Amino acid sequence: MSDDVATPAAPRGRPAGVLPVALVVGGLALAALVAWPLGGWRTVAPASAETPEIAPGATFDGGRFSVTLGDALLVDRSPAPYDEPEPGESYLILSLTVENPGDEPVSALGDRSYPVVIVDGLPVLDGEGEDRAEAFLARDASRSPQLNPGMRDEVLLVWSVRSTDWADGDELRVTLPDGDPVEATLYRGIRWEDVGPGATATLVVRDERTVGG
Amino acid sequence: MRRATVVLLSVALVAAAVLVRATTPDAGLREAPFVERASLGVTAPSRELDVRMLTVGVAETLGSGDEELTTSGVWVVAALTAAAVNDPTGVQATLLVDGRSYAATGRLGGATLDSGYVDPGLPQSGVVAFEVPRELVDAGRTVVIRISASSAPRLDAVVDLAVDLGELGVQRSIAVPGTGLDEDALAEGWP
Repeated sequence: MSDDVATPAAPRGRPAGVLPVALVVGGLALAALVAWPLGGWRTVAPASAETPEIAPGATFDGGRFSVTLGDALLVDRSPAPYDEPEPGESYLILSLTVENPGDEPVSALGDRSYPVVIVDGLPVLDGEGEDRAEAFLARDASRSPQLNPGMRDEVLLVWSVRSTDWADGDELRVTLPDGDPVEATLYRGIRWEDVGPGATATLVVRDERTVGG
Repeated sequence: MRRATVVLLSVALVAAAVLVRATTPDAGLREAPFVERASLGVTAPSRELDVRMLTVGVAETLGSGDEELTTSGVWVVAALTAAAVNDPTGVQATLLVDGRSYAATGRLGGATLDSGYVDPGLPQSGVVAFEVPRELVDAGRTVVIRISASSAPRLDAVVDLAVDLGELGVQRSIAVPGTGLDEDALAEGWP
Protein backbone atom coordinates (compact mmCIF):
# COMPACT_ATOMS: atom_id res chain seq x y z
CA MET A 1 0.00 0.00 0.00
CA SER A 2 1.29 3.28 -0.78
CA ASP A 3 1.03 6.25 1.57
CA ASP A 4 0.69 8.37 -1.41
CA VAL A 5 -3.03 8.78 -0.96
CA ALA A 6 -4.47 11.63 -2.89
CA THR A 7 -5.57 14.39 -0.55
CA PRO A 8 -8.04 16.95 -1.71
CA ALA A 9 -6.27 19.99 -3.06
CA ALA A 10 -6.65 23.21 -1.05
CA PRO A 11 -8.83 25.71 -2.81
CA ARG A 12 -6.86 28.21 -4.78
CA GLY A 13 -7.16 31.96 -4.15
CA ARG A 14 -7.74 33.77 -0.80
CA PRO A 15 -7.55 31.77 2.45
CA ALA A 16 -10.83 30.99 4.17
CA GLY A 17 -11.89 33.65 6.67
CA VAL A 18 -10.35 36.60 4.84
CA LEU A 19 -13.60 37.65 3.24
CA PRO A 20 -15.57 38.08 6.50
CA VAL A 21 -12.70 40.01 8.06
CA ALA A 22 -12.44 42.22 5.00
CA LEU A 23 -16.19 42.85 5.11
CA VAL A 24 -16.09 43.82 8.79
CA VAL A 25 -13.03 46.06 8.38
CA GLY A 26 -14.48 47.58 5.23
CA GLY A 27 -17.80 48.22 6.95
CA LEU A 28 -16.10 49.88 9.89
CA ALA A 29 -14.01 52.02 7.59
CA LEU A 30 -17.09 53.05 5.66
CA ALA A 31 -18.96 53.90 8.86
CA ALA A 32 -16.03 55.97 10.07
CA LEU A 33 -15.94 57.79 6.76
CA VAL A 34 -19.67 58.48 6.80
CA ALA A 35 -19.48 59.69 10.41
CA TRP A 36 -16.87 62.27 9.49
CA PRO A 37 -19.08 64.82 7.68
CA LEU A 38 -21.90 64.13 10.15
CA GLY A 39 -19.76 65.32 13.03
CA GLY A 40 -19.11 61.93 14.59
CA TRP A 41 -15.40 62.66 15.02
CA ARG A 42 -15.82 66.07 16.59
CA THR A 43 -14.29 66.58 19.99
CA VAL A 44 -16.91 67.26 22.63
CA ALA A 45 -16.49 68.39 26.18
CA PRO A 46 -17.62 65.78 28.67
CA ALA A 47 -20.96 66.78 30.14
CA SER A 48 -21.76 66.32 33.76
CA ALA A 49 -24.97 64.50 34.55
CA GLU A 50 -25.56 66.87 37.44
CA THR A 51 -27.09 70.29 36.87
CA PRO A 52 -24.93 72.95 38.50
CA GLU A 53 -26.46 75.06 41.27
CA ILE A 54 -25.75 78.77 41.05
CA ALA A 55 -26.12 81.41 43.73
CA PRO A 56 -28.60 84.29 43.66
CA GLY A 57 -26.94 87.17 41.85
CA ALA A 58 -24.80 84.83 39.75
CA THR A 59 -24.90 84.88 35.95
CA PHE A 60 -25.65 81.83 33.83
CA ASP A 61 -24.53 81.98 30.20
CA GLY A 62 -26.93 79.77 28.28
CA GLY A 63 -27.10 79.47 24.53
CA ARG A 64 -30.09 81.75 24.07
CA PHE A 65 -29.87 83.99 27.12
CA SER A 66 -27.29 85.19 29.56
CA VAL A 67 -29.25 85.55 32.79
CA THR A 68 -28.34 87.15 36.11
CA LEU A 69 -30.78 86.27 38.86
CA GLY A 70 -32.16 89.13 40.91
CA ASP A 71 -34.79 89.29 43.62
CA ALA A 72 -38.00 87.34 44.19
CA LEU A 73 -40.59 89.69 45.63
CA LEU A 74 -44.15 89.37 46.80
CA VAL A 75 -45.96 92.66 46.17
CA ASP A 76 -49.45 93.99 45.80
CA ARG A 77 -48.73 96.39 42.94
CA SER A 78 -47.93 95.34 39.40
CA PRO A 79 -45.11 97.06 37.50
CA ALA A 80 -47.79 97.92 34.92
CA PRO A 81 -49.43 101.15 36.06
CA TYR A 82 -53.02 100.14 35.29
CA ASP A 83 -52.94 96.50 36.41
CA GLU A 84 -54.67 95.74 39.69
CA PRO A 85 -54.61 92.39 41.49
CA GLU A 86 -57.88 90.47 41.81
CA PRO A 87 -59.25 90.24 45.37
CA GLY A 88 -57.22 87.70 47.33
CA GLU A 89 -54.34 87.81 44.87
CA SER A 90 -50.85 89.25 44.98
CA TYR A 91 -48.02 89.50 42.49
CA LEU A 92 -44.90 87.37 42.65
CA ILE A 93 -42.11 89.15 40.80
CA LEU A 94 -38.80 87.67 39.72
CA SER A 95 -36.25 90.19 38.52
CA LEU A 96 -33.64 89.09 36.01
CA THR A 97 -30.95 90.83 34.04
CA VAL A 98 -31.12 89.27 30.61
CA GLU A 99 -28.71 89.60 27.70
CA ASN A 100 -29.27 88.32 24.18
CA PRO A 101 -25.94 86.84 22.98
CA GLY A 102 -27.39 85.74 19.63
CA ASP A 103 -27.67 87.29 16.20
CA GLU A 104 -31.44 87.75 16.13
CA PRO A 105 -33.94 89.56 18.33
CA VAL A 106 -35.54 87.42 20.99
CA SER A 107 -38.48 87.78 23.34
CA ALA A 108 -37.19 88.38 26.87
CA LEU A 109 -39.55 85.60 27.98
CA GLY A 110 -38.29 83.12 25.43
CA ASP A 111 -40.93 80.66 24.33
CA ARG A 112 -42.45 77.38 25.46
CA SER A 113 -39.63 75.27 24.03
CA TYR A 114 -36.87 77.45 25.50
CA PRO A 115 -38.09 79.91 28.13
CA VAL A 116 -35.73 82.31 29.87
CA VAL A 117 -36.36 80.50 33.18
CA ILE A 118 -38.62 77.80 34.56
CA VAL A 119 -39.95 78.25 38.08
CA ASP A 120 -41.21 75.26 40.05
CA GLY A 121 -44.89 75.47 40.87
CA LEU A 122 -45.60 78.41 38.58
CA PRO A 123 -47.06 78.32 35.09
CA VAL A 124 -44.88 78.33 32.04
CA LEU A 125 -43.94 81.74 30.81
CA ASP A 126 -45.82 81.73 27.54
CA GLY A 127 -48.87 79.92 28.78
CA GLU A 128 -52.25 81.07 27.60
CA GLY A 129 -55.11 82.88 29.25
CA GLU A 130 -54.79 84.13 32.79
CA ASP A 131 -52.57 81.28 33.86
CA ARG A 132 -49.34 82.75 32.64
CA ALA A 133 -46.51 85.05 33.54
CA GLU A 134 -46.02 88.44 32.00
CA ALA A 135 -42.75 90.21 31.36
CA PHE A 136 -41.98 93.89 31.73
CA LEU A 137 -38.90 96.01 31.24
CA ALA A 138 -37.91 97.22 34.67
CA ARG A 139 -36.92 100.63 33.32
CA ASP A 140 -40.41 101.70 32.20
CA ALA A 141 -42.73 98.69 32.52
CA SER A 142 -42.85 98.13 28.75
CA ARG A 143 -44.84 94.92 28.34
CA SER A 144 -43.47 91.78 26.59
CA PRO A 145 -40.08 93.28 25.76
CA GLN A 146 -37.85 92.07 22.97
CA LEU A 147 -34.08 92.10 23.29
CA ASN A 148 -31.98 92.88 20.25
CA PRO A 149 -28.58 91.15 19.82
CA GLY A 150 -26.04 92.29 22.38
CA MET A 151 -28.64 94.18 24.43
CA ARG A 152 -28.82 93.61 28.18
CA ASP A 153 -31.67 94.84 30.32
CA GLU A 154 -33.46 94.19 33.57
CA VAL A 155 -36.68 92.26 33.07
CA LEU A 156 -39.44 91.60 35.59
CA LEU A 157 -41.40 88.37 35.36
CA VAL A 158 -44.75 88.72 37.07
CA TRP A 159 -47.18 86.01 38.17
CA SER A 160 -50.59 86.55 39.74
CA VAL A 161 -50.72 84.26 42.78
CA ARG A 162 -53.13 83.61 45.61
CA SER A 163 -52.10 85.86 48.48
CA THR A 164 -52.02 82.99 50.95
CA ASP A 165 -49.95 80.66 48.77
CA TRP A 166 -46.67 82.50 49.29
CA ALA A 167 -45.04 84.09 52.31
CA ASP A 168 -41.84 85.82 53.32
CA GLY A 169 -38.91 83.37 53.40
CA ASP A 170 -40.44 80.85 51.00
CA GLU A 171 -38.02 79.31 48.55
CA LEU A 172 -38.35 79.71 44.79
CA ARG A 173 -36.69 76.99 42.72
CA VAL A 174 -35.51 78.38 39.40
CA THR A 175 -34.18 76.39 36.46
CA LEU A 176 -32.17 78.12 33.76
CA PRO A 177 -32.40 76.23 30.47
CA ASP A 178 -29.58 75.67 28.00
CA GLY A 179 -29.58 74.26 24.49
CA ASP A 180 -27.75 73.92 21.21
CA PRO A 181 -28.48 76.22 18.27
CA VAL A 182 -28.95 74.64 14.86
CA GLU A 183 -29.85 76.19 11.54
CA ALA A 184 -33.59 75.92 11.02
CA THR A 185 -34.84 74.28 7.85
CA LEU A 186 -38.50 75.33 7.75
CA TYR A 187 -37.70 78.99 8.34
CA ARG A 188 -34.69 81.27 8.27
CA GLY A 189 -32.86 81.49 11.56
CA ILE A 190 -32.00 79.37 14.54
CA ARG A 191 -33.90 76.63 16.29
CA TRP A 192 -32.85 75.04 19.55
CA GLU A 193 -32.05 71.39 20.15
CA ASP A 194 -31.38 69.41 23.31
CA VAL A 195 -32.92 72.06 25.52
CA GLY A 196 -32.60 71.05 29.14
CA PRO A 197 -31.63 72.35 32.56
CA GLY A 198 -28.39 74.33 32.38
CA ALA A 199 -28.34 75.45 35.98
CA THR A 200 -30.64 75.71 38.96
CA ALA A 201 -30.89 78.22 41.78
CA THR A 202 -32.90 78.74 44.93
CA LEU A 203 -34.13 82.23 45.72
CA VAL A 204 -35.75 83.36 48.94
CA VAL A 205 -39.00 85.26 48.52
CA ARG A 206 -39.15 88.66 50.18
CA ASP A 207 -42.63 89.85 51.16
CA GLU A 208 -43.02 93.56 50.40
CA ARG A 209 -46.79 93.66 50.49
CA THR A 210 -48.29 96.50 52.37
CA VAL A 211 -51.78 95.01 52.63
CA GLY A 212 -53.06 91.46 53.09
CA GLY A 213 -50.48 88.69 52.77
CA MET B 1 -5.69 53.47 -23.64
CA ARG B 2 -9.34 52.77 -23.08
CA ARG B 3 -8.77 52.13 -19.38
CA ALA B 4 -6.89 55.43 -19.01
CA THR B 5 -9.77 57.26 -20.65
CA VAL B 6 -12.26 55.72 -18.24
CA VAL B 7 -10.10 56.67 -15.25
CA LEU B 8 -9.65 60.22 -16.51
CA LEU B 9 -13.37 60.60 -17.16
CA SER B 10 -14.20 59.28 -13.70
CA VAL B 11 -11.79 61.70 -12.04
CA ALA B 12 -13.23 64.56 -14.10
CA LEU B 13 -16.79 63.65 -13.12
CA VAL B 14 -15.88 63.46 -9.43
CA ALA B 15 -14.10 66.82 -9.68
CA ALA B 16 -17.14 68.32 -11.39
CA ALA B 17 -19.42 66.95 -8.67
CA VAL B 18 -17.20 68.46 -5.97
CA LEU B 19 -17.21 71.81 -7.80
CA VAL B 20 -21.01 71.82 -8.14
CA ARG B 21 -21.39 70.90 -4.46
CA ALA B 22 -18.96 73.61 -3.37
CA THR B 23 -20.61 76.34 -5.42
CA THR B 24 -24.27 75.47 -4.77
CA PRO B 25 -25.92 78.54 -3.20
CA ASP B 26 -27.17 78.02 0.35
CA ALA B 27 -30.79 78.59 1.35
CA GLY B 28 -30.05 82.17 2.37
CA LEU B 29 -28.69 83.03 -1.06
CA ARG B 30 -31.33 81.09 -2.98
CA GLU B 31 -34.12 82.93 -1.19
CA ALA B 32 -32.39 86.29 -0.80
CA PRO B 33 -34.52 89.37 -1.39
CA PHE B 34 -34.00 91.72 -4.32
CA VAL B 35 -32.42 94.84 -2.89
CA GLU B 36 -33.25 98.35 -4.01
CA ARG B 37 -30.55 100.65 -2.64
CA ALA B 38 -31.96 103.87 -1.25
CA SER B 39 -30.46 107.27 -0.56
CA LEU B 40 -31.89 110.03 1.59
CA GLY B 41 -34.63 112.08 0.01
CA VAL B 42 -35.04 109.91 -3.09
CA THR B 43 -38.01 107.59 -3.59
CA ALA B 44 -36.93 103.97 -3.92
CA PRO B 45 -39.54 101.74 -5.59
CA SER B 46 -40.07 98.12 -4.67
CA ARG B 47 -42.71 95.55 -5.61
CA GLU B 48 -45.15 96.45 -2.85
CA LEU B 49 -43.83 99.68 -1.36
CA ASP B 50 -42.47 103.00 -2.54
CA VAL B 51 -40.13 104.27 0.16
CA ARG B 52 -38.42 107.60 0.68
CA MET B 53 -35.96 107.70 3.55
CA LEU B 54 -35.87 111.21 5.03
CA THR B 55 -33.27 111.20 7.78
CA VAL B 56 -31.59 109.02 10.38
CA GLY B 57 -30.43 109.99 13.85
CA VAL B 58 -28.95 108.43 16.98
CA ALA B 59 -30.08 109.41 20.46
CA GLU B 60 -29.82 108.33 24.05
CA THR B 61 -33.55 108.71 24.68
CA LEU B 62 -36.75 108.96 22.66
CA GLY B 63 -39.36 111.55 23.50
CA SER B 64 -42.88 110.32 22.87
CA GLY B 65 -45.68 112.47 24.21
CA ASP B 66 -44.97 112.97 27.89
CA GLU B 67 -42.72 109.93 28.02
CA GLU B 68 -38.96 109.73 27.70
CA LEU B 69 -37.96 106.23 26.64
CA THR B 70 -34.50 105.15 27.76
CA THR B 71 -32.51 102.15 26.60
CA SER B 72 -29.49 100.20 27.77
CA GLY B 73 -27.86 101.05 24.41
CA VAL B 74 -28.78 103.88 22.07
CA TRP B 75 -31.69 104.53 19.72
CA VAL B 76 -31.26 104.61 15.94
CA VAL B 77 -34.25 106.47 14.56
CA ALA B 78 -35.20 106.76 10.89
CA ALA B 79 -37.88 108.99 9.40
CA LEU B 80 -39.40 107.85 6.15
CA THR B 81 -42.37 108.12 3.85
CA ALA B 82 -43.97 104.98 2.46
CA ALA B 83 -46.88 104.22 0.15
CA ALA B 84 -48.24 100.89 -1.00
CA VAL B 85 -48.05 100.09 -4.70
CA ASN B 86 -51.05 97.82 -5.29
CA ASP B 87 -52.74 96.76 -2.05
CA PRO B 88 -52.72 98.02 1.52
CA THR B 89 -49.66 96.58 3.22
CA GLY B 90 -47.71 96.69 6.43
CA VAL B 91 -44.30 98.31 6.76
CA GLN B 92 -41.56 96.19 8.31
CA ALA B 93 -38.24 97.62 9.42
CA THR B 94 -35.05 95.75 10.32
CA LEU B 95 -31.54 97.00 11.05
CA LEU B 96 -28.76 94.75 9.77
CA VAL B 97 -25.06 94.72 10.59
CA ASP B 98 -22.36 92.03 10.77
CA GLY B 99 -24.83 89.21 10.13
CA ARG B 100 -27.01 90.32 13.02
CA SER B 101 -30.54 91.63 12.71
CA TYR B 102 -32.18 94.13 15.05
CA ALA B 103 -35.95 94.45 15.32
CA ALA B 104 -37.67 97.81 15.32
CA THR B 105 -39.02 98.67 18.73
CA GLY B 106 -42.59 98.03 19.75
CA ARG B 107 -42.20 100.21 22.86
CA LEU B 108 -43.61 103.27 21.08
CA GLY B 109 -46.97 101.61 20.56
CA GLY B 110 -48.82 103.01 17.57
CA ALA B 111 -46.49 105.98 17.11
CA THR B 112 -44.25 104.25 14.57
CA LEU B 113 -44.84 103.70 10.88
CA ASP B 114 -44.34 99.95 11.21
CA SER B 115 -47.28 99.63 13.59
CA GLY B 116 -49.92 100.08 10.90
CA TYR B 117 -50.72 99.82 7.21
CA VAL B 118 -50.12 102.09 4.27
CA ASP B 119 -52.45 102.40 1.29
CA PRO B 120 -51.75 102.62 -2.43
CA GLY B 121 -51.12 106.14 -3.65
CA LEU B 122 -51.37 107.64 -0.15
CA PRO B 123 -47.85 108.19 1.18
CA GLN B 124 -47.60 108.20 4.96
CA SER B 125 -44.65 109.53 6.87
CA GLY B 126 -43.45 108.31 10.22
CA VAL B 127 -40.54 106.88 12.12
CA VAL B 128 -39.05 103.51 12.93
CA ALA B 129 -36.66 103.11 15.86
CA PHE B 130 -34.14 100.47 16.90
CA GLU B 131 -32.39 99.76 20.18
CA VAL B 132 -28.76 98.85 19.46
CA PRO B 133 -25.64 98.45 21.61
CA ARG B 134 -23.71 101.70 21.93
CA GLU B 135 -20.56 99.93 20.72
CA LEU B 136 -21.96 99.96 17.18
CA VAL B 137 -21.96 103.76 17.22
CA ASP B 138 -18.66 104.09 19.05
CA ALA B 139 -17.03 101.79 16.49
CA GLY B 140 -18.50 103.82 13.64
CA ARG B 141 -20.17 100.80 12.04
CA THR B 142 -22.10 101.08 8.82
CA VAL B 143 -25.54 99.54 9.24
CA VAL B 144 -28.37 98.85 6.81
CA ILE B 145 -31.92 99.90 7.54
CA ARG B 146 -34.16 97.55 5.56
CA ILE B 147 -37.79 98.43 4.77
CA SER B 148 -40.05 95.72 3.37
CA ALA B 149 -43.68 94.72 3.20
CA SER B 150 -43.03 91.36 4.81
CA SER B 151 -41.20 90.51 8.02
CA ALA B 152 -39.39 87.66 6.24
CA PRO B 153 -38.93 88.81 2.65
CA ARG B 154 -37.93 85.83 0.51
CA LEU B 155 -37.35 86.43 -3.18
CA ASP B 156 -39.16 89.73 -2.73
CA ALA B 157 -38.09 93.32 -3.10
CA VAL B 158 -36.74 95.31 -0.15
CA VAL B 159 -35.42 98.83 0.22
CA ASP B 160 -32.03 99.16 1.93
CA LEU B 161 -30.50 102.36 3.24
CA ALA B 162 -26.83 102.17 4.30
CA VAL B 163 -26.07 104.41 7.28
CA ASP B 164 -22.60 105.20 8.61
CA LEU B 165 -23.23 105.50 12.35
CA GLY B 166 -19.80 107.05 12.75
CA GLU B 167 -21.00 110.12 10.88
CA LEU B 168 -23.97 110.64 13.17
CA GLY B 169 -23.47 112.23 16.53
CA VAL B 170 -25.38 110.85 19.50
CA GLN B 171 -28.08 113.33 20.42
CA ARG B 172 -29.40 113.47 23.94
CA SER B 173 -32.97 112.95 22.78
CA ILE B 174 -35.09 112.71 19.66
CA ALA B 175 -38.75 113.66 19.83
CA VAL B 176 -40.96 111.23 17.95
CA PRO B 177 -44.06 112.92 16.54
CA GLY B 178 -47.35 111.11 17.03
CA THR B 179 -48.52 111.58 13.46
CA GLY B 180 -47.10 113.32 10.42
CA LEU B 181 -43.63 114.67 9.90
CA ASP B 182 -42.33 117.99 8.68
CA GLU B 183 -40.43 116.55 5.76
CA ASP B 184 -38.75 119.83 4.82
CA ALA B 185 -37.41 120.24 8.35
CA LEU B 186 -36.25 116.64 8.48
CA ALA B 187 -34.22 117.10 5.28
CA GLU B 188 -31.78 118.96 7.54
CA GLY B 189 -31.67 116.08 10.05
CA TRP B 190 -33.42 115.53 13.37
CA PRO B 191 -34.18 118.76 15.18
